[in-house]
Amino acid sequence: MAAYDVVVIGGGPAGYAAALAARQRGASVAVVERERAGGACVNFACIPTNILMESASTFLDARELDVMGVFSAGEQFSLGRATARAATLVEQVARGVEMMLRRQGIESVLGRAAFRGPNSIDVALREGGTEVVEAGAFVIATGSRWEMEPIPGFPDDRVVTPDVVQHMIEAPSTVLVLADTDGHVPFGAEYAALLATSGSEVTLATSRESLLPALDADLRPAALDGLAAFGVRVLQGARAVRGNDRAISLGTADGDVEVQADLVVVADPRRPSLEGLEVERAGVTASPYLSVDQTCRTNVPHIFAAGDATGGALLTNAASHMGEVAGTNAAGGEAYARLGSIPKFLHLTPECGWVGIDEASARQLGYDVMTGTADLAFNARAMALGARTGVVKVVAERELGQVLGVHVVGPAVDGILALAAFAMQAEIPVAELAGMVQWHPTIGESLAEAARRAQ
Amino acid sequence: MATEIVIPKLGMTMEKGTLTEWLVPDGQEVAVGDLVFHMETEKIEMEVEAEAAGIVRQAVPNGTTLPPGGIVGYILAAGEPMPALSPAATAGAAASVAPVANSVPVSAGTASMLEGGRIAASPIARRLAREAGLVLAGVAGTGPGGRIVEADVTAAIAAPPAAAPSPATAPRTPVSPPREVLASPLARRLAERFKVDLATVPGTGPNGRITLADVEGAAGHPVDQPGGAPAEQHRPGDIIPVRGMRRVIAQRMHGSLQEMAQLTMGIDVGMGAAVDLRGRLVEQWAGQGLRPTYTDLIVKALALALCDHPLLNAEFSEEGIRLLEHRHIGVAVAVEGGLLVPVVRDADVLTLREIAAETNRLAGLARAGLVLPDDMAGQTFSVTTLGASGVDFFTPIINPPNVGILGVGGVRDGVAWEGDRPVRTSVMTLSLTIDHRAVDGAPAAAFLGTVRDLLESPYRLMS
Ligand SMILES: Cc1cc2nc3c(=O)[nH]c(=O)nc-3n(C[C@H](O)[C@H](O)[C@H](O)COP(=O)(O)OP(=O)(O)OC[C@H]3O[C@@H](n4cnc5c(N)ncnc54)[C@H](O)[C@@H]3O)c2cc1C
Repeated sequence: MAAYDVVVIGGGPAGYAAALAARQRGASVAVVERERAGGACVNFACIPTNILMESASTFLDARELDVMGVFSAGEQFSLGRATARAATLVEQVARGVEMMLRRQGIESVLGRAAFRGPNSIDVALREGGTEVVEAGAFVIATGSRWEMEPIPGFPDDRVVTPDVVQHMIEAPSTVLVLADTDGHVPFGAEYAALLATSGSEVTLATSRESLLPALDADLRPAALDGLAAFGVRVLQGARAVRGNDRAISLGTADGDVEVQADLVVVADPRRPSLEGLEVERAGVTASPYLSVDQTCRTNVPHIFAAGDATGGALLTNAASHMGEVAGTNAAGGEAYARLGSIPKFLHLTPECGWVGIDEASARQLGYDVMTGTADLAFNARAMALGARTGVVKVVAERELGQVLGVHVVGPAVDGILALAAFAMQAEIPVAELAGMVQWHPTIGESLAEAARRAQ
Repeated sequence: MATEIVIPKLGMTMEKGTLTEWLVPDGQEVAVGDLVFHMETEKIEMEVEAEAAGIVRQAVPNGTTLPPGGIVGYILAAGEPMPALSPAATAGAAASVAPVANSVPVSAGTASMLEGGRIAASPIARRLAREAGLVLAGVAGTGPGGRIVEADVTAAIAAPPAAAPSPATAPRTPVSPPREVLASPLARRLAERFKVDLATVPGTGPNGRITLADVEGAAGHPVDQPGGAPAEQHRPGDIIPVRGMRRVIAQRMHGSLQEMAQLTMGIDVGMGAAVDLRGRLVEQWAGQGLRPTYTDLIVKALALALCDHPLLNAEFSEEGIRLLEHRHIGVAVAVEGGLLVPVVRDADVLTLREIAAETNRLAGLARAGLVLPDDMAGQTFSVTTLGASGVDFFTPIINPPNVGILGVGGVRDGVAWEGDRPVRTSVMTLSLTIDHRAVDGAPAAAFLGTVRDLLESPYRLMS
């Protein structure tokens, strides 16, 4: 039997952030992981998606390179080559995570954890047998899993999740991607774009009113135009109701729409992955998410939870932040989670991202709102990148000058997103954002410009 | 000859006094006996008079706490420069007991004090000043708007000590440097506005940095309730700032009643079948950790009823009544210090199970202060429940720009007659408020009737 100050269950971003934070405070720490260090994020979510979308957007750019004086750059896209590259890089990143944990003196236990009681777990070891592990504090970071509803009449084995696409060699000829996020970032849109790039005829459907409900309404058309440029047909307010062997009927406000589909890709919903963990034996209530307070404590004071297992943002940045808070507190420190200003991003062309809330929400929440926009079509760096459209919009409040949201669609916008997230998390007033000096020409300059116009 | 303005010693046990407010602006002329500042000790509040005539120069901002004898400013003759603060000058008689200005002397300059005594300084400048024991009030700021930047503090630290302002102040024992609090710029702005002393606010940001939410929390109405950092207790006479969640509630509710013509009506619903259904679902879903509530049934019933009565799913504006395409139901959740209304989107197309999972997720996040802003916007109709508090009927106030809200009472025992025999039933009262500008009483009553029918035959909610 092994005993540690802190045992972390799950080796995804929430888990390894918790382990590192607890270790840094001098605690003895073990991470129990049933599959592979890095969790969903590294092995079949953020990392492979980002790598594959880089291939897809490079291909889209390559088709226009002659404008820049570069010829014969590429007329063909190989999904197989792109997925093979992604698999190699994913392997490297995953090994990097394992190594980092080892270097910090964090013990890795490979196996599936289940609580025995408030201070101990059984680990069904991957190499066989069971080990009992005791701990003064636990961090539950078991992430989430897909929960797919079958589509009546359509063969179940042709409804797949993004991880299947990540290993495809050839794209199917017709695909329906369903993106029914609980209101956040619709990663299905990236898979729709990837498959369209690979030659599939793709329909992207969401039962929600808008594919990008949290992106400011002024910027949504540009984002949707971008998907159209990939060749993706977008249906909003459409829910898959039934199917037959090769087609799906979607119910919309204007009646049913039939879509050809050899394959259906479902990117959401995600539900907490707590099956078999037996949290109730430790006295923790799950319903079905693990509820935590701002210190990431569950109802049992020495048991913490972080990341997708707690519902919430279902994003890696939120998971890592909560993990760090949970790990710090589990090791006797004091930290609080704040998720109000975490950035959201979709790797499309144009890219789109946002932090905070949109103008309509700000007005509905009763703020005295001021907004400013800057058109990236006039940003010299955007022009050099060959972009035709792009907008930055700043939403602020008059009373204190608090920045409530920054929304952006355009090329290389992660630079703006980084600045905006920093400014909002540091609670810097909009006037100071307006006064910042950037390198010229960069995309970041347009953030200051939009902030200057916010009044 | 400069006359010091000091914190007076009031009684033997006084250890420190706080300059709560300057009563004359920096640079104004005063006569002997004019009131100069307001101060507080643990025991008493008082106004302090000018002991000399001349021009008042403030050396510390509002809210500064010093031991008796601590210098807060000077009265100068016209054209006389402000003496630099020195450890010798500021340490009071009871110097060792409290943080005292122990500053490195700086050249007399425009202290970057903004309106209300707030000092504008960059985070790095603050940290440097704190480490060097430098009082920022005496440093001239060269950043935008007189903001003190790193270079200003570096220069101030390097500046040669100036002569002590008054030979009368003998050298005293050195004291611990003042603690510059770590706080975000917006938190400072808010604290200044509501006269919250940042030194008393527990910070929950990185390294204990005080955030906007912490100041709101300390002011009594936490937007997020940090587990380990309880908001201060309130006493009679305190003024609770109306900001953040409190302000949103105040503005929306007042605006709602001012702007709309609100009419509330009630209806009793036989809940026998709904109680049975919920009981079955509780058992059925227990394995999945999902516990449906009556509110979940009501959210679904409401969304379905809105499909049949589109007039109630609308927005009233000067242009006209806009019928909305989607049915997003806001569900009011009581939280520490107020209420939040997270939104279940497209509740008419979600299954009851999906609704239960979603309301549960949202309510948990709302209570933990972790709900994302995107989850709280866009409702087309709301539901609010007081049943758990024993209330049956009330007059809910509409969340603008919606045209209706449904209030839900508790499920209680009722009596029905089967022939001559009284039988026990389960009853619940629904209170519907509508905006009479957009909807009339009869269609509203018809809508309420549909909600009741759906709840009385709840299998229709399971489709
Ligand atoms: C297609 C897709 C793309 C995405 N792209 C992005 C993106 O670009 N950016 C972003 O921020 N987010 C993205 N996300 C979301 C992101 O992947 C998750 O939010 C993140 O992985 C959550 O981290 P976590 O640590 O909470 O859980 P996970 O990453 O799921 O890790 C949980 C770990 O716990 C292990 N585990 C579970 N139960 C047990 C047990 N009983 N015993 C031992 N181990 C156990 C699992 O094996 C897993 O390794 C994406 C999601 C999807 C589906």
